[in-house]
Amino acid sequence: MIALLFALLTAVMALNYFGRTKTGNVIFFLTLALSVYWLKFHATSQLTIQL
Amino acid sequence: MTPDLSRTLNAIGMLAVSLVLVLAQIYQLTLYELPCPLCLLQRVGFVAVGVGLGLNLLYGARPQHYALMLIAALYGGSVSVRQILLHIVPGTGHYGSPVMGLHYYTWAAICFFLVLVGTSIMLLFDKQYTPASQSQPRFGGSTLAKAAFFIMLGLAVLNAGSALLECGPTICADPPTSYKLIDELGNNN
Repeated sequence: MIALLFALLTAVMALNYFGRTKTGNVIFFLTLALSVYWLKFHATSQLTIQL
Repeated sequence: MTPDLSRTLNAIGMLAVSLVLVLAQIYQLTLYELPCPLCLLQRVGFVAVGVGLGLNLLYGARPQHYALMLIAALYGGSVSVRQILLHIVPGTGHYGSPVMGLHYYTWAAICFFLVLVGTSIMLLFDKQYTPASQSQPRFGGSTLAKAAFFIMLGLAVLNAGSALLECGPTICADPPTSYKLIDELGNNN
């Protein structure tokens, strides 16, 4: 799934190159939102904070 | 700061970020140390920084492009700090070999911090912004800018392929022990 994030960012760079910067920006933020969501699957192990 | 100088500095920044990704790839291939999912997400952060830099190279510096870089660096920095916190408690071990005494994720956090500082400094100079009415060719005719952009584009493609081989189309193993997609394809044949 992380490969998809790289693929999306590649697409953003390609869109920017061809002048489609607005679409590029939308996909850029979508990619970041997706990667923050996926942190849920990868950042919850080991560390347990006890308050 | 002139627009040309700004573009050159952005191209150098793009090459510096590319160097980080190249070094990570070299360590992955030579030491056979597969990047963990959080390490891969930090690489995503570096490529995302490259998107903002690429816009500056393509169309000249704009505050909006620098904003994309700041957001990407904040994202990448957060992921790397999160990984540092995973290993900060004594006895929780570490991931990967240290490089000059620091682990990859610590270096990543330092690099993202440097991106934040560098981008903030670049934002201070008003004269680098060319008016939108002045149309320029892509990359402002700079070969360095063009080379830096396509190197980053190539690295993004390379990382997409590498992550696909390592994780397959599903959630990445944590920690990864082998290239999952190659194993699956091997087992099917």
